[in-house]
Amino acid sequence: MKIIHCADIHLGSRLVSKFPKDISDERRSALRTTLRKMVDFAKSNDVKVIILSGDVFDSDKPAVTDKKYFYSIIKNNPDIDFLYLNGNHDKEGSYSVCGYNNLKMFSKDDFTSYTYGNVVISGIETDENNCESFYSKLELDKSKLNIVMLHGDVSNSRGKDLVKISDLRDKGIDYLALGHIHSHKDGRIDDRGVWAFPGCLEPRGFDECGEKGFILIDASGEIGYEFIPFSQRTIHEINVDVTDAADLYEIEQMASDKTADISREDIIRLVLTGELSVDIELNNNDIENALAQFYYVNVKNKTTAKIDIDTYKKENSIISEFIAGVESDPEYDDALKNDIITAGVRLLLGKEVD
Amino acid sequence: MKLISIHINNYGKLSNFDFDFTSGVNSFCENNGYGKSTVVSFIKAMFYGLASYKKNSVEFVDRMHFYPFSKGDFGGNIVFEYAGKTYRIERSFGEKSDKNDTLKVYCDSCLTDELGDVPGLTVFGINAESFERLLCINADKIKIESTGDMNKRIGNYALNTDDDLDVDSIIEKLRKNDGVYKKSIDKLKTGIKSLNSDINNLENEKKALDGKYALLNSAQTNADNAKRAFSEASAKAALSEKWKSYDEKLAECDSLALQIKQIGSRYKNGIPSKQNAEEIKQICLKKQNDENSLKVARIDSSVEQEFTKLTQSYPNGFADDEHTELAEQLINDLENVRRDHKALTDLPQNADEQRLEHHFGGKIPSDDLIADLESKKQLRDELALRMQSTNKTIVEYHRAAATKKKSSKKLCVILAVIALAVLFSGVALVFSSAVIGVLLILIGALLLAAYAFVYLNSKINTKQIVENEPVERPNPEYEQAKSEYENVTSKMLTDLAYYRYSGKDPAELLFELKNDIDTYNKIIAQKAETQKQLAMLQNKREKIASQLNELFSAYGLEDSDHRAALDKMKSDRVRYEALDKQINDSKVKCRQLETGIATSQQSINDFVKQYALPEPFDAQMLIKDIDELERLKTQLSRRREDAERYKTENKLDKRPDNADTDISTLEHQMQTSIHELERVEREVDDLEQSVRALDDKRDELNDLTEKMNELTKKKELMLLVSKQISAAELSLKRRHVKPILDKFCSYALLIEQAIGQKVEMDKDYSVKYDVMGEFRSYMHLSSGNLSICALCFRLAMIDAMFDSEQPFIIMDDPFVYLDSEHFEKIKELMGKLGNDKQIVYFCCHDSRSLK
Repeated sequence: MKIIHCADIHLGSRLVSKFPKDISDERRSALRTTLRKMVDFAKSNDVKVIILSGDVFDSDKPAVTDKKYFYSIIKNNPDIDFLYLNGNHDKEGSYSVCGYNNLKMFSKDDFTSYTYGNVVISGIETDENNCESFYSKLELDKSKLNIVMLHGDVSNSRGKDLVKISDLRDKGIDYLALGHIHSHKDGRIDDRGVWAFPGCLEPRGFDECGEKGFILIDASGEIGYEFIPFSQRTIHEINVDVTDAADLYEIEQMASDKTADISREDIIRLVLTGELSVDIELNNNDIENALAQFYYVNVKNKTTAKIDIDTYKKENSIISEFIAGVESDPEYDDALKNDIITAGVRLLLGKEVD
Repeated sequence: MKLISIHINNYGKLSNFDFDFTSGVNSFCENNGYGKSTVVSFIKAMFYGLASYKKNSVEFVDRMHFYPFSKGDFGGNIVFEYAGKTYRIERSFGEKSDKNDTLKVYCDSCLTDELGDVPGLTVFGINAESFERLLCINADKIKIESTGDMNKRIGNYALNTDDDLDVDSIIEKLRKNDGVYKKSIDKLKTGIKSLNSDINNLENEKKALDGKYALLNSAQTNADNAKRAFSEASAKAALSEKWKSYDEKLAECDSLALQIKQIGSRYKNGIPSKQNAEEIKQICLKKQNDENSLKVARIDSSVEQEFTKLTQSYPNGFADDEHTELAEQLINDLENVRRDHKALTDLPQNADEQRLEHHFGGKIPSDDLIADLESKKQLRDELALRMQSTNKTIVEYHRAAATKKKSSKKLCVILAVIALAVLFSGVALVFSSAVIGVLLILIGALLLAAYAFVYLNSKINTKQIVENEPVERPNPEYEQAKSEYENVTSKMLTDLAYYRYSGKDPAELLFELKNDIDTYNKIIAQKAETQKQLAMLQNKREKIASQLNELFSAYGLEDSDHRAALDKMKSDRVRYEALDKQINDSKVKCRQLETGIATSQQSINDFVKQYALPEPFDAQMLIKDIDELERLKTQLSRRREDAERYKTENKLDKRPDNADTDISTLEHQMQTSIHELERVEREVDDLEQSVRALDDKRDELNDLTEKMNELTKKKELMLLVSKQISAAELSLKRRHVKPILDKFCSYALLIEQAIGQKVEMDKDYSVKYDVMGEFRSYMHLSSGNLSICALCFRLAMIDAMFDSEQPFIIMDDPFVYLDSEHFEKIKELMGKLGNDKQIVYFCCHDSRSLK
């Protein structure tokens, strides 16, 4: 028996990073289409159950369009059971009793279990009221393959949106299907069971870098699982230290080298770091244009000006006078001093300053 | 550096003017109008050029001021030493615009561009304004402060670099940028304000969404309830329908059971098994077949009648095979004899017979006649031979007088005359026209030749005619033979004509006659032989016929057509034997069939009796009943199973109550509630679409705010940068002002303490002096002190700005406001300055002359 474990789809979510409008619209649309494609994957791979471990919707009051889309998927795929556990975003009111037999829900009162042969899938919705008490309610038949659904980050303590893994040991859990964290990660509960986050299905911003997708569980014998990268695009954050760059061309070359292995369909944030000579007039647009083959590139310039202050200090010049004046001013912190000196020296050297 | 000379082509009032300079002080004291200011302007123009002006310009610029009155070449040259080299700058100027200005710089007599487009900038390192303020001293009120250009020169000098570091322009740029930043920030603020307003509106719409969501939930609940009610009612109706279907299935089972019962009622002792029924059916079929066969096997009365008739027709029985074969042989013989007889009778008449009958009429010519004809023929042949050997006619030749052909002669004469005429004409013409003459001679000759030919030919013909003229008459010997011959021939023809031979030569007719006689004789012999054979065949035919009649009469056959009679008897015999066999076979077969039928009937009777079957017994009907019963039972079983399965599958445990529910009303209610739900959903969707812009607006607001913060931060940063650069420049200048101030004061001391004891310079080298504890601008000085102060300031600045390449100083009567006491001190100072500076001093009065 094959089961898909996914979470944190966040249908209807606004994007967490600022994108141009067309990119933003495409990303929003991708949240829905990737969900549909995942269900298509389930159909073509004989998956009987899809576990949704919370935050299917981004809010308690999802848009009608998103709700209709989601319920249409359920309605049109009656051969697949959708086990939908509310998360902290869609904690209540995000669905209605639509009467679809293949949509299985959970409650906050106690664990609800659904049995598929030897596989029992149990889950409970947690909130501030039951987040510390639900552990004691979990009673499993250890002779079965037990999958437990929860929404919260793994933790060493109990609390809202937290799952204390150590308190779930020796409960007979074979697979703890978690949601809440937007990147895939997994670990062991005890000798028997494992916990896993599938991460979100589709990245929404630069804080959701890396591969996104779902987990395919094989429950035909012992529990086996595999992370399936499935997002339409991957977001990458690439740091490029441009300290050694002599000019703009070399910076572009460094950026190209760093992004050589990335798919052109992906989204890249390029963070330029290191010290940059004041002689180089760096414009983010230049780098973005140099990487225009990618779907979208955003450049963050976090470089500092490379100024040989000691050399200037030795001179009897206005620059040395300027640097000395700035450095001796007690009102400025170091960062501000750096900014003033960088801009001032550039100006005194006849360079342009934005 | 050192000024050596100037040459003015035309500049102001000066034309073709030369001036040589020496080291130290060059003092010139000339009256007003001499052109001192013109020379000063010319020197400046040589180094920096002249500014253009437009036609309607109100400013009285130097180009306008000094445009030569003579309107000659506007310009000249200046020679000076700089950096150890001698340069000559040659310039000419246009009237208004610098478009047609020319500039040539020579270094040691070689054209060079090393001083650039503005030689003054290269030589002095300052612009025209600074040059005028620093190096051109006059009595006008001038600013005792440095220009940015001068400061730059001082700064660079201090920096010891050649970079164009212009702090003023940097500060100005930052100031302008600050304005740009401010405008951008103001624009962003406006945008943010607008966005905040939009966001507030959208927030209100979003709040309205809560109400819509409640409405949506309510509509959803209504729709769900209506769906549920309709669904339940539909389910109930569907269940009733299913019960109805189930009942119908049971009714069908009952009907089938009734049919089974009805069939069973027809068989009191039970219905036979299918196998027994099939067996009895086979017996019935066999009996039926036997009966049919019996009918067929029985002989038809016509057959018996035919058999009897045949028996009666041949009371002595039929001829056996031997007799039949004998009769057959005899008939064949008889037919052969008849055929031979007929063949002889029907022999065709010989083709010659009729012709010969025509000739001879039954009387053949005698041999004597033939012999007579043979002798006549011989005589005739002899006569013919004699005729052949004798000529028919005898020929005699007689001479006859020749007949001249007058016509030929005439022709000859004409030809001769023409020929001669042409010949003589040709001879006559040959002397006048050689060609025609010769041609005519030739034609004449040819005509003569023709004449000769005609003449000779006529002569020969005449001679021949005279020699060959014969005379012919019949030969009497021949005529006699011919007469005899014709006489014999006539006789032969007469004899032959009796036997109708004519039309040919009598010899040929005789030959034909002889042949015909032979042929006719042969024909007569052959006909006699045929008559003999016919008689013999007639005897044989009668004998055979007699034998046959005797044989046939033994079997009662009296037909004259023996062949037909024999064939009939043979046919009757075959038919008789066949009928006999058929009758016998029928009898055997009938006996067998009658036995079988009786056996079958017995079995049937037993079967009918066993099962008390109704009469008459119909096995087919029985089988049909059995099959129908079987079918009905199977169908009943299936229907019952089907009904039970239907009941189980549809879980028909309990019949629904008969509460009458109006499904159409429920459906209408459901549709209405669904439409209402969809309507509310659309409203919510529209609102959500609108509110969705809230995120974009917030993003935009964040974006603008971020940009504004960045700009504000940058603006503040640039202000700080500007402040720090200004501070640095001030600090730097302060370091450089002090030596200049010291110089300034030392120069002033050389003259007198004219401007008070305490003097201060600000960063722009603006001089202020202490009056009663208060610093005052140099502008408050008296004109005399101001001129001293200005001189000292310039000297101090020159010292600070220039090192080894000290520039010349032009003084255009600067001390007009000095009293004699101060001027004496100036003279003393100028004397000292002249030791290391070149000074060009102009004045217009001896009292201010340095000499």
